[in-house]
Parts: sequence; structure tokens; C-alpha cells
Amino acid sequence: MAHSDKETQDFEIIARIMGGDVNAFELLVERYRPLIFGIVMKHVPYDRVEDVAQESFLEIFRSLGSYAAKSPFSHWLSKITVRCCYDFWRQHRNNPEQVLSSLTEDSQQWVDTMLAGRSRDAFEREASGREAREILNHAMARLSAEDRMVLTLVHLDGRSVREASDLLGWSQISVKVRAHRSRGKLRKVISGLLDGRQESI
Amino acid sequence: MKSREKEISKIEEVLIRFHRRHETFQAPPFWTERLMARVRGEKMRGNGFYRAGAVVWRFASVTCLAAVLLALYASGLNVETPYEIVELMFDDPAGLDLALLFASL
Repeated sequence: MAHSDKETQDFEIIARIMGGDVNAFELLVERYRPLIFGIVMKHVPYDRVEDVAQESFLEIFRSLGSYAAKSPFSHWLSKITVRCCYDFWRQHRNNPEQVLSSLTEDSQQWVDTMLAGRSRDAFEREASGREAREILNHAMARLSAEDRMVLTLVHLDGRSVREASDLLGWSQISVKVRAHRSRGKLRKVISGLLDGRQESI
Repeated sequence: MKSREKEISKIEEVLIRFHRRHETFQAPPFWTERLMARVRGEKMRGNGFYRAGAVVWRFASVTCLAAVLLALYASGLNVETPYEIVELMFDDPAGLDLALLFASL
């Protein structure tokens, strides 16, 4: 298997770390920080991103000896990071602090704006709003850790079932079933939101 | 019913767009330093553990071989009870009987 320059450099850094030069790990951190933060940001609340990213890098360091170079290093890192995010949600499954959020009036108004049929620009602008985050969090809080991970990877990120099953280490059938079920739950939450809107009219 | 499905799909599409928008996370100051401090601590714990494990496993095969040879030797001496085997081992602290056994092989 031919390796790119970046991969070759990665192997050299890994060899140094395995040889006892732990400080060389900082080079890997610098190279892959954007990738790891990018994944973690899509899965955990904003205020927990730095903690989960640290845990991911620690897990990467611990597992470095098991990297067999069968797949690109970045893919191997992504797998570990996705599983760290899943562990985060499993640990917070029964956390009483994580109460189900209720939506503000702004969110209801935002739904009205969305359905009013605006221009493409307005649509794009509204899609980056605080209300969108609020509604997404509101919906996600009603899902199990497993459903949440699958929904994020397949439906929101747009990854294939095969890719998601590889990242999570689950069977493709399991991912497919969960993807279908979790999407149904998301739509149900949105439907509930629309019901609330109609009741308030 | 159809229009409701359409409305749901519209909101769903906006949420997907929101999720996929490009966003960068600015790591707080000293984030890497804190991580590396933890990594170095991890290394000390990890290395100690792995080194101890490696030593144990390196001697595992030798220990098994010695146990088999000892059992063969004990069977040649017509010792049957565990008590007699222990007695044999304690009566031969320098391993002279075992050395003789190896010499004769």
C-alpha cells in the first residue's frame, strides 16, 4: 500500500512515540486537532468539546500501539473520537443535570419564519441561528445515546450506513434500523413542535 | 396530512443545514499543554504496567516448561502425593537434583 507524505510523516512520529519520545505526540496533536475538534463539535454540547477532545487524544495515545496501518491514520483517529463521543453520552444518559430542555418562544417564532417561505438567503441565515441549535438540542435530548450517535452520523452528517457502522463498530443492520428509528423520532419531535405552534395560534 | 409532512421536512432540512455549517472551535489557551501533561502522566503509568506485563509473559513459557520437566522428573521418582513433591522441592533448594536431571538429558 502506497502512503502519502503526510502518512509517512505520521508513521515516523508514531515510531518516535513508540520508541519513548512522548513529546512527539504533540506533533500529532497539532496535525489532527482540527479533525478531532471537528468531529467532537458535531456530537457533544459546545461547553464539553474541549474535555471530550482531550479524552479522545488520551485514548488515541493509549491505543497507539494497536494501530496496524491497515486504514489511513486519520480514519483510525476518527473511529476512536466517535467512540469517545458515544461514551460521553452513555455516561450522561442518567445524569439528572441533563434535564429535557423546553423551548423558548423564540423557537416557536423561528418555526413560523421557516414555514413562511422566505428567500434562499433568509433561509441560510436562519439556519445558522441560536433557535436552530435550541431545537436540535431539544430533539436530541429525547434520544438514547445510540440513537443520537446514529442520527448524527447518518442523517445530520450525511455519512453512509457502512461508514457509520465502521466508525461505531456496530453491524450495518443495527445502524440501518437505528437510523430509521431515530429519524422517525426526530420528525415526531418536530411534529410536536408544529402542534405547539398551532395551539398557540 | 401531506402539507404537515412537507412542513416537517422543511424544518428537518434547516436543522441539517445548521448541523453541517462550517464551524471552528478555538481551543482555550494552554489546552495542548494540559493535554501533554496528562499524556506524560499516562506514559509513566502505562509504561510501568506494560513493562511489568512483558516481564511476566516473557517468563511464562520458561515457567511452564520447568513445571512440565519437574512433573516428569517427579513421576520418574515414583512420588505421587503433592506433599512429596513439595518435600522434594524444599529438600533440593540448590536445584542439584534438577541440575542432574538436565545433565542427563
